[in-house]
Amino acid sequence: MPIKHFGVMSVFNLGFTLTVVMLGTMVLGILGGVLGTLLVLRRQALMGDALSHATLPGVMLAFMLFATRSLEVLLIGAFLSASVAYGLMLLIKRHTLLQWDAAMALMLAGFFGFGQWLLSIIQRQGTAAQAGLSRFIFGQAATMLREDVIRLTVVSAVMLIILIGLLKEFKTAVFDPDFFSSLGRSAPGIEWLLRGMTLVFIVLGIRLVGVVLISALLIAPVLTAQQWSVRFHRVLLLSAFIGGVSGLVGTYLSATRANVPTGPVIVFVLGLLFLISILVAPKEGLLRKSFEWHRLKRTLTLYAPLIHLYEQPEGTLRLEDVVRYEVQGYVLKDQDQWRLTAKGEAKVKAMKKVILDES
Amino acid sequence: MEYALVIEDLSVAYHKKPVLWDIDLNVPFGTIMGIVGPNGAGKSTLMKAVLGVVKPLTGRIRLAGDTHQAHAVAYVPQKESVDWDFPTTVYDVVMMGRYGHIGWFKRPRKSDHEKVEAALKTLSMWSLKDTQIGALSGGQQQRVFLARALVQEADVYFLDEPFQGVDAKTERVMVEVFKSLKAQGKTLIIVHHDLNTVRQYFDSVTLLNVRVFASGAVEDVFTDENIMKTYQSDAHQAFWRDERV
Amino acid sequence: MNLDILAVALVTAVATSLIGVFLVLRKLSMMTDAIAHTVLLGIVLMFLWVRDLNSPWLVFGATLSGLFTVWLIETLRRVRFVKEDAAIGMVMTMLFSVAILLLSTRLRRTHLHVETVLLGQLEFVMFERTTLPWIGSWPTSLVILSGVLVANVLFLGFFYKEYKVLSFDRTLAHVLGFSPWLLHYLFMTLISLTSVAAFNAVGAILVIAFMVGPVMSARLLTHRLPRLVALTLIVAVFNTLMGYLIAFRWDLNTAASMATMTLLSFLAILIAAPKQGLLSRLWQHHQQTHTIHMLTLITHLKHHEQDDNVAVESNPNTLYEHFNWPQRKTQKLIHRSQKHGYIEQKDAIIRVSPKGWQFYAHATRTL
Repeated sequence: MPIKHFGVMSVFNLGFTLTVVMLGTMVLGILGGVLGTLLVLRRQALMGDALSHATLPGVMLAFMLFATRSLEVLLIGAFLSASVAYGLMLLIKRHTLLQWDAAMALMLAGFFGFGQWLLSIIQRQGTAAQAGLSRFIFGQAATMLREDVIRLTVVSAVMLIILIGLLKEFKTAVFDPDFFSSLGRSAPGIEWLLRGMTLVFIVLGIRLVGVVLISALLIAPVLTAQQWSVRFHRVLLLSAFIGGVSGLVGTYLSATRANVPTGPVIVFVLGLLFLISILVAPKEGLLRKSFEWHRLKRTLTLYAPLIHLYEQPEGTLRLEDVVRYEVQGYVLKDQDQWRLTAKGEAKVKAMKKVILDES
Repeated sequence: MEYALVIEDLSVAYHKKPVLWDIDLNVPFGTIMGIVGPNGAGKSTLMKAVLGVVKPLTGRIRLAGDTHQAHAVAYVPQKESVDWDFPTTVYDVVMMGRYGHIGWFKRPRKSDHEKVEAALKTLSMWSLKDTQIGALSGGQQQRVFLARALVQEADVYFLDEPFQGVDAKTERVMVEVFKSLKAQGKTLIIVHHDLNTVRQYFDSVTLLNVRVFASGAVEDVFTDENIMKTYQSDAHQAFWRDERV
Repeated sequence: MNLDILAVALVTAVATSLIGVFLVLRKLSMMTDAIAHTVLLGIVLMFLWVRDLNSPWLVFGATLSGLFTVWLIETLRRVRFVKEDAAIGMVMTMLFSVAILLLSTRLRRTHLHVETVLLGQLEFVMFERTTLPWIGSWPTSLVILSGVLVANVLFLGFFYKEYKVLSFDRTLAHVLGFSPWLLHYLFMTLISLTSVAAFNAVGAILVIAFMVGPVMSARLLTHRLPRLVALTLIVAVFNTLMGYLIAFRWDLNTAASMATMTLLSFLAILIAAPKQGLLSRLWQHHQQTHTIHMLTLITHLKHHEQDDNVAVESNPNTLYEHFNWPQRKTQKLIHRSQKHGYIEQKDAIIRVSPKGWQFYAHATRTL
């Protein structure tokens, strides 16, 4: 049953279907947050985008070959075709001088075009599968059934358990693969596990948020979390939390308003959280950073001559500086030579302390 | 005295962290100056600031007679900063050095081609002129970039670690070229990290570690005491911590 | 056969692949991915304002939103929070989601559909026509795309050497006094404009394939920039013609058919390119292994030439023990070396032939 029937219900009286779908998107959001942390740190943030587009021909081929709408078959098709695209990307990177990003762009658009081409074959045969494509591109959480959510939750839970169980292995392998290998562990093994899980995540998530926006679930929670902390574990936890909350809130918002697709709302919520974090987060906030840069520039411009004088007591001062410093009581004239007063020395020391603490 | 390069009160900071602090430096014409200092001392940043790639926090940089930068400065990049897979030949890379003279919209003239040919022959790279640059050895790549700097016909040459990873023969060729440039009254400023060869290559040296610790003729400035001061691992930290160094 | 469709397809392919050369060389491929998706936001916002699907303002708005995307990505990166790829993914999905939300709430009953923007409708381009003075009535898409093509050709013609320097060595561009910032944004304006002009015909996603595909194929065939440009155009035209013919013959989606050809021709070149292809690399690797093995054999024989136990060390039947190799592999090596005439066998002792010494001297000099 589509959720829209429950559109007017209050938060405390959610329909069963909506509750189930919210649970599903929340789990997906948490998984995206955790998996995305590893991917973004591994500089593979855009992999999600490339692979999600590359699932299209697999879905179409599975449909053509088995003439079924069974979700399992289509998902396996999606998984296989994204895997092939990924394999080709690796092949290009390893054996040619072409750049990784170019390989990614070509596989993304080439596979998507191939999928569209297959779709036009299907349409010609008149099996009327056309409506499926836009659902595939934008996702449709509303049509999720209980079985879908159960499958999603079970698979996600299994992956989360693997991720948490092997967290220190993942962490080491992501930061320093060579060191990890030197411990006698298999860095490629861990890498493949990560790739495999990313593929599964994408295949599961497309149905909810669609091809274009699935990569946001892998990127946005991490970037937001990174504004608040630089510690791996905190970023990971926060990212999982942000992913989960956005899934929950986004699904609720889209279900309680008519005609608003779920995926874009979830991503919009993620975007808002990111924007707020960038502006206000304590350590790394944009406002604060720009403010501090200008303050440093001002300090250096205004007081560089004073620091000069402190360093080289025999040095000279330009007239415009002298006027300023004398008024402020930082310098005094002593036998034709400008000297720092006690206040001036204190000022120089204070400035040095500030800069040292912050650099 | 006429200076090729004058730097006054230059500070550069990446965000809140000062990378170069209060640099004053005068480089006269006709010198080969080495810029020496430990890793993270800001050697490359100093060069980038002079080239106009990095925006300084404070200070002024004046190049010889304030002529247009395109003709005043030539530079040889650090190897990592160039795309070696780029589809271009040795000849083409050297011709890029003439682009500043050729100007927008125009094509290279006969005199440009002659200059490129001469520079490639000086560095014995003429026989490899049609080779893709990625296929060259480390020493050959360095020679190509030196040839490119030569055809720029600048007054001041900046070289970022030019001796890194080159063979002995290339090193000899390069030193020869440096000497002949110097004889023409050009100025060379070379970022360098090997202390053992400083006396051999340079006639003046700047010891840099966030600040300038010493600058001048090699025999005056390149003393054990100055080197010690510059290379004390926390020399610039000590400065901020208010110990007069 | 519909020549209007073919003409639009060809002009699209040439315009996109030409600008794609510098796009790939400048390593900005995924930036177009972002631009291609976010032009939707520009179109939606402009449409909300002018309420006309055929207004040139839509092209203007979409181009601006492409530039805005680039600026946002670079700002995120410059203030050093975010790596470039993460910034691209972030900005792209955020702006796209806003566009979809606007579409689904404010513009539900209009003719502006996301599918049209993302997937394009090459088959319908001939219905929208513009009458020009002197040359008569032409499909509007063809007119716009031809304009963009001319702009691309002129622009890259004028600034060819500047972009070459910018792509190859950014610092040199600074030193030579070209403003990298200005050149970059001019370039991104062109990329944005080309994406916008092309999406109508082939859709925003397939534009990416047309931009990067041909030049990537050409990259595997040459190391010279002028040849790269020529080959890119040849590959692009080939893909278009083949794609069009297939689509026409079996009545399939033309743009998708062209994209499929782009992918297939790239894969074919990837496998079979003369020097950089996978097969050729495999063959080179194979040859090198053989050379090294034969050199090892000659070195071994040379080492034990004057030895007292030369009979043991140079016996073809026991050599495998000294090499610690499987017997078959050693036998094959001896056979191969004999076939090349590098070694001679006499009384169960193998010796290096004069030809073998030549090979040895040559190979050790060049290795």
